[in-house]
Amino acid sequence: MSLLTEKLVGLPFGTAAVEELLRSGLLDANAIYRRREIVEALRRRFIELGGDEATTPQQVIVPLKRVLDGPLFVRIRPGFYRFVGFAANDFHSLAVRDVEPAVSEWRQGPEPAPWRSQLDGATTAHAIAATLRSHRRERVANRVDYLQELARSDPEEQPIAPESLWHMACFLLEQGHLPDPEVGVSPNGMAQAEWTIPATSDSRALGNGLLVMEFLPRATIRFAALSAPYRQGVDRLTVHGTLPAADALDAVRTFTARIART
Amino acid sequence: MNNEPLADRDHVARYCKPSTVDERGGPMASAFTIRAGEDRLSVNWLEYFGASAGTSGVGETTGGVGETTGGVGETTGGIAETTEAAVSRVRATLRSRGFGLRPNGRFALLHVGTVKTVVRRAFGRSLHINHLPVPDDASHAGIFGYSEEDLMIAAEIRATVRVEDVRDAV
Repeated sequence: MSLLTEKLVGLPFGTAAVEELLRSGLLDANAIYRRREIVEALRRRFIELGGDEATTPQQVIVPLKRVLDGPLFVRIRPGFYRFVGFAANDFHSLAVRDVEPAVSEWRQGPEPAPWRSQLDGATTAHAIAATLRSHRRERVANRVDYLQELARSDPEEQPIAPESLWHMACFLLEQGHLPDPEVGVSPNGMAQAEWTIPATSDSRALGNGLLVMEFLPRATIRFAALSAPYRQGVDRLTVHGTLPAADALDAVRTFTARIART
Repeated sequence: MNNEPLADRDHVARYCKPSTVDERGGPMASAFTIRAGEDRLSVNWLEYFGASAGTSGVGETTGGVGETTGGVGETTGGIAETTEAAVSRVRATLRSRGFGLRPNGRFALLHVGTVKTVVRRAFGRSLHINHLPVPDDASHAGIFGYSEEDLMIAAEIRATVRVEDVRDAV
């Protein structure tokens, strides 16, 4: 808060003040806000910290507009924005800073995988899709392009959060033995991958199982898996939870063993 | 009826937007996940429009959970037509509310009793599926009792949906 306390308090509200206030944990990362909610939260926090009590919403709106157009926010639809957050903004370096390991960190030999440098340089959905396409994940890449186009053309759809998409791409490139999943977007804008678990010969009548992974920011995965739909009196395997990527993969290994890529 | 539980024999339709429909045209688990801050999954009650409750076979189970009686395609023509007519009414209702139904979207038809029973027996969690009429949509209903964290419940609901329980959105 040094900038605020030493320089900005008492000065007109500017872009630096907006960014400094956002850094103070004013908004939750990956939550969606109405613009007027952001304006009011900024104004109140500014005053709480000793800023001019006469600061008006209009004074906040002008510098906020510049920040809303920057990398800290994703416009969901008119008047609604997702706060990406500062940490997520640097998602390439998260693996180094965070305690939780990124997928790419674990079980990687001394030589980086051939896709790694290309993915590290991918900062847009288009670039991430291109990386997938050039490393045997063409179907997933086409699906990502389709989902991004949906978000552009349909106001009821939203784009996949870039850090979520990046972590999904990292996971799929790392786990090359897994077949291409069906890919969708969760209601909160996270990439969600889904695999059908083929029924075994003695459970064919029950139907197929399902493995779902939602790729959250900071390289964690929310997962749910079931070996078959529920049926009274019939044993089946289920597991669900939220774990760092490596641990999530371990947790669902029973299921991934049944969907190995051919 | 307002905020009254729907009968277990009844059915609801969930509109699945294209980003939650897989490349084969099937709903994904994300179609049954709720957004942060929401307390319900919005659905439409088919029997409100006169569908024959308990006889359409949509996702329905009898004689204990999981003993599927058969999909819509296995029912008699007249009953199936009633279900189709109800889905058509849902399409018209959602359009009148300003929802942009898309060609790649789908409706997933869910059997109230099956969804509640599967989740209760699998997790010990009680879902409530209640009639929640809103202006311009008297058939609106909601599935209550799970949060955005409950991906497993979404997966279980997804697993109750068979190919024959899916309808085109337009």
